[in-house]
Amino acid sequence: MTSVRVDEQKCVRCRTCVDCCFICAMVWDGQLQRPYLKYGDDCQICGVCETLCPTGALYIQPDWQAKHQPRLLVQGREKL
Amino acid sequence: MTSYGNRTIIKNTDILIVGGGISGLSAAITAKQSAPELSILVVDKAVASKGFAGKAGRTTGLLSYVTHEDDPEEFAAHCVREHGCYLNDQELLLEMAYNSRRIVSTIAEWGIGIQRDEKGTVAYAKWPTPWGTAAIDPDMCRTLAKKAKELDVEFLDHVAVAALMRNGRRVVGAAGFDHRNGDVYIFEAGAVILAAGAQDYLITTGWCGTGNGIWMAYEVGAEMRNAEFGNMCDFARVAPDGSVYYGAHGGAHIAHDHLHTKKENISRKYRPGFHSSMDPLAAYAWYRETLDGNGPVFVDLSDFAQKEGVLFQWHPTATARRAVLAEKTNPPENKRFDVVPGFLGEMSCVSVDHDMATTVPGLYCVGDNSGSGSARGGAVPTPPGKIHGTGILNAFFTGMKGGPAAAQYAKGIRASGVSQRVEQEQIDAVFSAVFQPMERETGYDVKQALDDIQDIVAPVDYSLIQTETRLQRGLREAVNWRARLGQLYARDYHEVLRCLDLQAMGLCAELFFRASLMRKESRGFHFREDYPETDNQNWLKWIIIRKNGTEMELLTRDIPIDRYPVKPEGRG
Repeated sequence: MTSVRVDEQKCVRCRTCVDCCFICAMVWDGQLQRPYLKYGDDCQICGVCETLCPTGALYIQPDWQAKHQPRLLVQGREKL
Repeated sequence: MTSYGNRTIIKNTDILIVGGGISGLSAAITAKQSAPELSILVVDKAVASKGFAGKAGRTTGLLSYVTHEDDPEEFAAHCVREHGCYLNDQELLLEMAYNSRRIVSTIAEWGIGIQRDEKGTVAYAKWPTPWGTAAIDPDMCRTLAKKAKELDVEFLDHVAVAALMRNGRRVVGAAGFDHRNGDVYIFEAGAVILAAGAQDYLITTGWCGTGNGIWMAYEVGAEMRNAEFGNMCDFARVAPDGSVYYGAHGGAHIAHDHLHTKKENISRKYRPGFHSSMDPLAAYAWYRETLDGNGPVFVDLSDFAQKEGVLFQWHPTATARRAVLAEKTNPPENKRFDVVPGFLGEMSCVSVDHDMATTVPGLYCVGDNSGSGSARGGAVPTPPGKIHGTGILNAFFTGMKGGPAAAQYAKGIRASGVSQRVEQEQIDAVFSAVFQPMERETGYDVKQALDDIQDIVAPVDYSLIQTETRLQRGLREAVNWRARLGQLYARDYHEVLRCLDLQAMGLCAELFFRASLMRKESRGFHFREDYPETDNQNWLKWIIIRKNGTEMELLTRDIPIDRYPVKPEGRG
């Protein structure tokens, strides 16, 4: 699953990464006071949270294999 | 008051806008400018108040428009002949063409960054066709949200609108919930504008509309149009480990004119000449050659001559984002790589008139939500259809039309004093259905359900290259899949949101297969192996679908081709 690495020394707790996640995959962990990618399957790997982070504290680690694969490119049972 | 959700909050507004992307925010700004006395509320599941909703910030920031070098009528004629294949609403298309430069000026006045040359005029890449493509700030919604707030437009973030509310036939509001905590919202509104995007079935990254606005409009009886053109596609790059990359993630869009097998250039064989984009015929080249045992089909970047294409500039924000993505995708340079056609979707079939009004009083629909339904683009999954960057133009154009029109309607409602009260019975029915998946502990898993619907709509030979038999099979699978949705279970409110998405996906898949079965010809993005010819004698028609009780009613409506300036051969 796609995940996020957070450098806690750099994170200034501004929550921009949570606000800018248009798919609502990134949430704020109130206890740990840090963002986490709660719904990693939903992450669109748009990189906006990384580019908007004012201190460069985030890194999105994509899991490309977990994204849609062309496992059924041709459904009509004709063999390719 | 209720046994569902958490708190219940009632909001009253003159205009409710569902979706805070480009079209929703443009509608909000222009509605407020045309009627400052009206209250306007923008609701989105993301943070629209800061300009983070919608797909704009994730695009490469390309804005195509009819430049001062181009003739609007030539642009429209080209779109009708080459892309829309005479299924366009030519009057609406011409209006967009003639207003295109004004739209660019207006959004520049609003403060949106568009790349300019040293003289201060908009810099654009000129196509050999009658349009140009300029670089626009992908973060344009941040500017739009700021502008809307200056005009006193209100925002409600983190709230997903689940259903529209009616009083008789009239739409009088909506119901939704906060997906973080389950707070329930009832919206009473003079007019509602849907700006909730297209249907992409979440098949690939970036293209992530889930069609909720289509579902909501259909459920209140709005007509659908051009549902058979809900099949936007692209070529995807296949990496050596089998991972597939689409579009902005190092995809293979250039492949559509540069496809090879080990024997020959198959683009020249199947689709000679210059094409501005992919279409099902390009997918057919891949399909036929692969079936004939000549695969894999590949692109060789080392022989790809950049001068054959159009050299885009990029906005600095887009350049920065592309650099972040490139680091994650390792795009090949000067190498050969295999490609496969990738289904995207972009179904946008809510039918609207020239005011962006649906067939239901009080309900308007703009942007990707009604792209094909407006018929502006014709036989393509608009936007962007076959012209990159016209998706952004369409979002501004339709938002700027729908906002003032809805304001005019809402003013009338306010003056008439008619009730916008939403009946409790309707509210209870909506929320008991919405939250039902949370009452189940087991059943149909949302992730599994998503995989299953993707396997039904994405196969090339169901969605792009069709026959009666395969479409019947696809329809049967879609209908059976929809029947399983009653067993979905959700572990939290976020998954409830996904259940709503799945409900919309099921509807859209069924609309797509039924409309595709009805159109017994090939035209634009609708490609039937069993009816390969375009039939202008019998099929200069739009297919309309509407809800009739629990059934889907399909009918055709003649295109007023005699009234339009561009006609196919043999029609005067």
